[in-house]
Amino acid sequence: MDTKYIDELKRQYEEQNYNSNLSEFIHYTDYTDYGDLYSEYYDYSD
Amino acid sequence: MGEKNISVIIKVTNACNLKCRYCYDANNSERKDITLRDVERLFELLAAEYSVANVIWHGGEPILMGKDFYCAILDLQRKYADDITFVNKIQTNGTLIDSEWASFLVRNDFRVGVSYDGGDAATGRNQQDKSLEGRNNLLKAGGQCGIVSVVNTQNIDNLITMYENYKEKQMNAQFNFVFPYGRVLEGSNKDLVVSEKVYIEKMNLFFDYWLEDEKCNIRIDPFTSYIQLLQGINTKCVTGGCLYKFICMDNIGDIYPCGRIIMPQFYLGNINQVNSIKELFYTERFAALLQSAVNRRNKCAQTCAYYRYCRGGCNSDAIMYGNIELNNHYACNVFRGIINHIDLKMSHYRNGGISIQNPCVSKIIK
Repeated sequence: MDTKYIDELKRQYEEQNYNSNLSEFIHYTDYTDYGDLYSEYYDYSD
Repeated sequence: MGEKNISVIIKVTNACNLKCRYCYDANNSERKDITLRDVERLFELLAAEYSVANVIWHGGEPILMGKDFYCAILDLQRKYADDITFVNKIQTNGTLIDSEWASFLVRNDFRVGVSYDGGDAATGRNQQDKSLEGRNNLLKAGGQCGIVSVVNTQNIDNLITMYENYKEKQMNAQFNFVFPYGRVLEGSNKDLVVSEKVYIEKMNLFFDYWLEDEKCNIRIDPFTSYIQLLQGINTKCVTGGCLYKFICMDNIGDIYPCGRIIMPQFYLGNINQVNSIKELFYTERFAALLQSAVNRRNKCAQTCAYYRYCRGGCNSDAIMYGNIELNNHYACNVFRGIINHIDLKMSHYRNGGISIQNPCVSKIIK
């Protein structure tokens, strides 16, 4: 497989992420971030 | 040891004790469970490249694997603990979580998501009383869980009743539309799919109710995540640019980019036939997926004002609605219809100097 081709695609993909004005997607350690999952309990008590 | 995080969905079995009419993951093949050997090989490769792995135990029904399986998993994780931190999450229908299971999950810090549709069997989900019992057992054991509810034609008119029920029980919930794949395509199950127009209308009415509820004590998604998106904060894989950040291993050790697209054209390799996770991202199939995702996002960026919020959306959604380069499909239209409404509503409050009554929303407003 042409690794340069894939690296260039990755660069384009990450540039699209960067240019979208959204924060970088963070893997919250206390957050089930898979789209159809949800397991975090939010404590609003404070 | 690497410095990166990754989320890994592990589909431990194809078996499930329920037969939900809308299940996107349904199959009728003979039960096949994952082997500890395959899991260990995965952990070994992850430990060589990543410092944190969010492991999402999935199925089928992952609880069917039994506690001995997960005890062995925890032993394996301890074996690699010098190189990588594992964060365990499990998505279950909850029906098999008795007090012993609840204690086990809480004691070992599994973060639990339970599928529950508000209690009405007509929604296509059976044994919901048992799901709630499982959730209650988690509470008694000192734990918590979140709820995933599938919105379909049988409960679309009851969203606010469901919300009040969840609020009373202090259950954070995510409301999902029916994914157009698997069992929902069979016969009359198609009738469970709500039209775009009705879905948007009912969800927006639900949002208005939630936004103005001064007694709200729970997080509701997608509303919360959409408010965060409007502020530039991205918390969900569907808007997160998921490639390179997620992989899925199924019950026979095959690797895919996502748990929703277990399809031959997205097969990246078997865990016993690769030497690194990185290698999976240099396969022809991954390159084709990446190219198509870039193409779709370019198209979205040129044609849709909401691209700045969704980053071209979810690859799996596009695939399920036709093909990976498709935009303007059901999921796009629903996203636009709801986030546009939320944007207008929040602007109205902000510009009018009106305070937001919902305390859970006030806390996340910058």
